[in-house]
Amino acid sequence: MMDIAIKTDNLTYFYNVDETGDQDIPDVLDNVSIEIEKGTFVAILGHNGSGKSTLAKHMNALLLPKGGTVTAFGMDTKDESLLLEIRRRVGMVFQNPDNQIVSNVVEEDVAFAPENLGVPSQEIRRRVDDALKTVGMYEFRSHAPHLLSGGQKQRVAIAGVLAMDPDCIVFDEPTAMLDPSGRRDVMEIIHKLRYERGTTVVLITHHMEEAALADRVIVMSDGHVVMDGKPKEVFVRVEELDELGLTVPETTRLLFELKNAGVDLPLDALSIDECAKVLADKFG
Amino acid sequence: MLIMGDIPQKRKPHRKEKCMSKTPILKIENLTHVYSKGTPFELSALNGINLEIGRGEVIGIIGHTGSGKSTLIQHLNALIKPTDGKIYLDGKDINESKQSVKEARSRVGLVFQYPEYQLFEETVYKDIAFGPKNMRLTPDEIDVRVRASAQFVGIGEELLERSPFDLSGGQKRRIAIAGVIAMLPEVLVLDEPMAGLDPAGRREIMENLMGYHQETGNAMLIVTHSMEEAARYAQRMIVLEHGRVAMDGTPEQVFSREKELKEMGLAVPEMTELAEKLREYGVPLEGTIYTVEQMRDALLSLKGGLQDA
Ligand SMILES: Nc1ncnc2c1ncn2[C@@H]1O[C@H](COP(=O)(O)OP(=O)(O)OP(=O)(O)O)[C@@H](O)[C@H]1O
Ligand SMILES: Nc1ncnc2c1ncn2[C@@H]1O[C@H](COP(=O)(O)OP(=O)(O)OP(=O)(O)O)[C@@H](O)[C@H]1O
Ligand SMILES: [Mg+2]
Ligand SMILES: [Mg+2]
Repeated sequence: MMDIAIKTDNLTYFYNVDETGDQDIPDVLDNVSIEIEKGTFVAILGHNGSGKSTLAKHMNALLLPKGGTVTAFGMDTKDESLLLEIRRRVGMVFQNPDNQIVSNVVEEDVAFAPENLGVPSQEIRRRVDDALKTVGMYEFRSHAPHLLSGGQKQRVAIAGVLAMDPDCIVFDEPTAMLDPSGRRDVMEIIHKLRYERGTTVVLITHHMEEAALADRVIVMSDGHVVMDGKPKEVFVRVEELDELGLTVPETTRLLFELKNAGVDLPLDALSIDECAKVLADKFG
Repeated sequence: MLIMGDIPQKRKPHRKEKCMSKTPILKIENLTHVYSKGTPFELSALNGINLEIGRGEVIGIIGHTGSGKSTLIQHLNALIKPTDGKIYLDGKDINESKQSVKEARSRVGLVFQYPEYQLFEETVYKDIAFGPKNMRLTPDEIDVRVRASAQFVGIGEELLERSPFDLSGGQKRRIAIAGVIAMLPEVLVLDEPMAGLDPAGRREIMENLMGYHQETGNAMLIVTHSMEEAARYAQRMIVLEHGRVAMDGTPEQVFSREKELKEMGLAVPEMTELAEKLREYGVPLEGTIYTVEQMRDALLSLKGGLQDA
């Protein structure tokens, strides 16, 4: 029990779209039960509107379950007296970085969360500088966040959660607006968080190559968890993923197509290096 | 799959006529843009850009974070004004008068990097209808366009009466694209339109955009961070770096400069990288390879060759 970071137990949620109280609105999350182990890196995939962001917002009590329970580090998110502690331990990077901007100066923005958590000011200074350097935005520290480019805003939002240094970070599509090197940087940051700090990482993404780097992949569809396993277990289910509106990394796609053309190959060589080795054996 | 012919148009563009015309649809002359001029935050985002966009071109614009892509394309429908330099649409300076600005806004459709900036009506329906309404189409024409555009981006009828703010990220993105498509713009400019879309959505919407392009012959400029998509769909690629055009050529020309691209924080498509590795391992792959299909075919032809030998 002690080694679970986030646990949802029959979590059900719907938005109150209809003010007349009509009960026709379908559940956005329908009895979702997952356990995310401490210190692991879990990727969540799913079609647009499948409920990923809604699920993510339950992890630090931004939304509260309408059915079932969510616990973060053993704390029931419905318990108001625990709210601050939950927010301290579970940080989140929103899908749209604009929703996260709270200040007119980049470094103040990044300092906001640690300040609220009562971190001593010298420590804050150090954390903010470190975080901005990590995401490559230190030289923009005195700029106005709302006047940055799309990718720069996304980097600042990531710095904000790094400065908070929570035990679990939920990233909601943090690389959607980043260039290839920015995407690589974020994956490196996640790797370091997981392996050097023991931070639990939840990554929502539409990039299969990123999910391939996770310890575990959870696939959602219409408010349900439909697959759950190691990347190598999930991504070999090519046809099912296609049907869910998703895809597989290009490496797997290639191996799959070759297999269909009669070449006998394993499908689970996910990284470019692995894939190259497997292919070189066959074709070299 | 949607056929744009289903959508009533004011004046159906003649594709042949367009392709034969020699003047570029857009001409960017010595464009410079300085933000916060005269303040300590003065920042020169574009430094003397010169470009000609031909009618019927599909162009991929790539560049690292902050290289000036969004700044550049927001000039194309006069959303922001040059600090220096000119933009010509069909030979006419778009910033010449109120009238010319208005004309640019209706002929050049721009999808923003963040869809939230573009959504403001109470319902999805009204949001998509906003452009066509401004073009003074009849309610019937508007209705056809709204529904066809929603279908174009894979948004079901059940979402049309919802508030655009109460949608998921990818759904908002789709509505923003639909709102611009509904205007049937002569030049379609999209700023990272695929960000936040699920893989099936990316593929379908990209195919539909290419269909729109083929049917109308209209030019399309797409800012993207996906090297794979740029390679697959663009005929021409423009690479920006520090507010300058660093490269301008076919995907083949651009992706042959892998080292420079990497230094700029960019990359080559994944399959190109795999091809590189395989060649190092001694697999004699020929030609340029960007896509899974190209790689598959290259490998299979190799295998065929080996078997024959
Ligand atoms: N504020 C809201 N009010 C009403 N309905 C909402 C709201 N936010 C999301 N929804 C609906 O809930 C469903 C799930 O949305 P959610 O944002 O969780 O999806 P998602 O999996 O994150 O999708 P995406 O990949 O597009 O970001 C969608 O059908 C969406 O329309
Ligand atoms: N409104 C603004 N005021 C001041 N500076 C700005 C403004 N918008 C952008 N900038 C700055 O201008 C430069 C170019 O920004 P632009 O948004 O054009 O980049 P981009 O290539 O679109 O980047 P991204 O890939 O991150 O979206 C950046 O350094 C950015 O910080
Ligand atoms: Mg989402
Ligand atoms: Mg941009």
